[in-house]
Amino acid sequence: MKRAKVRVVNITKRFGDLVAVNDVSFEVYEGEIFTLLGPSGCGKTTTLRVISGLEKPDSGKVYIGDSDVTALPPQLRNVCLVFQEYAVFPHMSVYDNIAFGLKVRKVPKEELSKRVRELAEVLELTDRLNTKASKLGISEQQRIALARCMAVEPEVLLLDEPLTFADAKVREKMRRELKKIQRELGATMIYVTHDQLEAMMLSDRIAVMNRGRLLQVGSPIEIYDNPQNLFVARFIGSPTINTIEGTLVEERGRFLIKRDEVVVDVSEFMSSYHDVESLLGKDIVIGIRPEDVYLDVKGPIEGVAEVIEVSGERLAIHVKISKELVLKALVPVHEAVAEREKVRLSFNLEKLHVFDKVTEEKVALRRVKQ
Amino acid sequence: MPFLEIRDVSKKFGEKTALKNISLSVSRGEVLAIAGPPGSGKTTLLKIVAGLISPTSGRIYLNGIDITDVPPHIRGFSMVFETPPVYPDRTGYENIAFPLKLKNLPEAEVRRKVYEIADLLGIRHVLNRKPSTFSGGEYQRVALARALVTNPAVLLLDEPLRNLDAKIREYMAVWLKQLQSKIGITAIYSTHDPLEALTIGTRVAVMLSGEVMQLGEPLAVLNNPVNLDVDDYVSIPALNIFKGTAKAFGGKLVINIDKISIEKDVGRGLQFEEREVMATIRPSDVSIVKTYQPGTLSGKTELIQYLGANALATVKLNYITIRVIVPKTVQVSEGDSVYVVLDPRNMRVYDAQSKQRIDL
Repeated sequence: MKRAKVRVVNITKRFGDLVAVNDVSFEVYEGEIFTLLGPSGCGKTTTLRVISGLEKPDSGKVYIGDSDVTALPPQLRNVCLVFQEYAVFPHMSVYDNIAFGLKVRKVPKEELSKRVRELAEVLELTDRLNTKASKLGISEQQRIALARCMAVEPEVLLLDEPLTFADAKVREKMRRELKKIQRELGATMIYVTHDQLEAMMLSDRIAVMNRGRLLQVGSPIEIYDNPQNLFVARFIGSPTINTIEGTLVEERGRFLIKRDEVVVDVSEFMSSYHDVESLLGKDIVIGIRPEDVYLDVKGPIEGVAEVIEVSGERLAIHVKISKELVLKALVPVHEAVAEREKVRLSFNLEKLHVFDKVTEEKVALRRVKQ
Repeated sequence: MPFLEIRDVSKKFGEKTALKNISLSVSRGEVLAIAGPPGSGKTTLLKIVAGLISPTSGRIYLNGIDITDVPPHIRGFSMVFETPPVYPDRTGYENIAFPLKLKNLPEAEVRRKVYEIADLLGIRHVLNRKPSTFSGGEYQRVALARALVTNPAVLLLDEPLRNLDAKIREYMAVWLKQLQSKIGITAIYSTHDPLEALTIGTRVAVMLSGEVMQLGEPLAVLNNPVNLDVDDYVSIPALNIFKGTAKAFGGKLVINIDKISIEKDVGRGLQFEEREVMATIRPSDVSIVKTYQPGTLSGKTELIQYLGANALATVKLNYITIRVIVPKTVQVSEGDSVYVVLDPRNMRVYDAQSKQRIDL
């Protein structure tokens, strides 16, 4: 499989007064799955369409391999785009669907047949080649669309929310299939989705976007463990990260986050950093992931279990601490508590994230050398 | 006496059986979640309860009174669909007030009720706006407000969160549950997503191919599936299912999957000849280690998929492929050699033909 790197440099795209993509730059490495992730309207699809050539940017450049393709029409870019609505021809056989692009390009019959069969093998469609596409399920149609794209040997595969219409169970299976196929073919893939779990499960690297801007690029682990701002912290991860807004104060040698009647002692965390004094009196937001909050009979915070959320293999216990504050603790299924039960919580203080309440950016703290 | 009772309801469309002998009841203040894949009959059942279609056989009772032939608007139920029809040319206020105006309530009372429900649902800020300016979550809450404002006896929710972004869906599911504990409405909630059903339902009915396969409290259904199809359906990430044989004798159960043999201690009373089975284990009940230990199976990680707090690894063993939840503390990359710990205590065994659970 041919594959190329992709470089997007200072892309801006406006629609009237709306800045859909605002000065976005990133590089996609050869042979990786790179995902543009963000809520509806964040600019991810527009960015993908700029790469494909379907949209012309107002400013900025797109490179595929080492060539500047910004001025080239889509058909000369050597990319292939798979849409939300699978573009399979329902009345054609699977074979004819996959062969379509090759026939248009007048590829000799023998070579055409060989390439279709090779791809059908990888995508597990061999025993379906003579079946009409309309007779097949959503997962198979998806694979046909992919095979037809790959048949013309694009250097880059672009996928725009291809799993949107599948239900939860099928989607999980297809994420695995898609990643396996990509690993086998080594293709460069740029993938667009609003579903953070999909991005995490599928990608080598993720670019998080919001309101036209690129907020952070990194591997799933980097983005999850080290979010650079509050938006990324909240958008990545399910159940959503716990946040506590408050003011940092020092009382009798202890560092406390205070908000109304809630007081959280963060001395243990703060004592391992320099620069803590600079935060005193400031409005900050503390983030802590639900798996770093424990049900602990000796824990310092008391609350009432309000909702038990079944989150895959674990339960998120939503604990109401005060009128304004609910904290989630992720626990194994066998540690379930009843709704309305009183519980106590403790934190893994090593896993706190600190954000500036005004800028919403991560507060850089220097760790004290051990 | 149950508040709402669905008694032995079947529905055929031509030759096709959509619902087969459904019997369910809902107590006052309870949310019954109906979970099943697309096409399993959830929407048909809700429409029968709403009175929008009639059952081929079976009856619906409310407070012990047969309402099967009562037209929908007299039943006093409200229904919210996957894509609720919110009137685009009317404001949020007018949309919510609409069913009250149909009842010719005095303007002051309409106003009071609309504001009350809007405050409860946190949408006062959209009352003067047109639907085109609503976010997905606001749109759905306006539809819900309109359904709730008439104080319906039963609220019917048909995949109300289906079209929302993943992140908003997660938020709304918890929000709905909180709202429910505040106002204690009686509701039937359908969804294709088992996790959503297990979170929202007071009880959950798992519906597969037009039949209720299992009914119970969320954790009972999750931890104790009655057959292979229910186990497969409620398990996310996807269940590991292996074809094999099993026999039980002298307090031991021996499961053979290809050339792998697994032994499990069972009650001495359990005894049967070798038979074909399906053995299952959830990815979260399997673990991997990086160095060999007696009893582990050697393999190679084919795929790593991050979930956040942990990762899902697909591991190729000699004869089988197995998916494993790996905590972040275990560092593993694609292509690594690993050893799989398969704890037989976490395995469930089903008869290969009937798919029914073999009680161990």
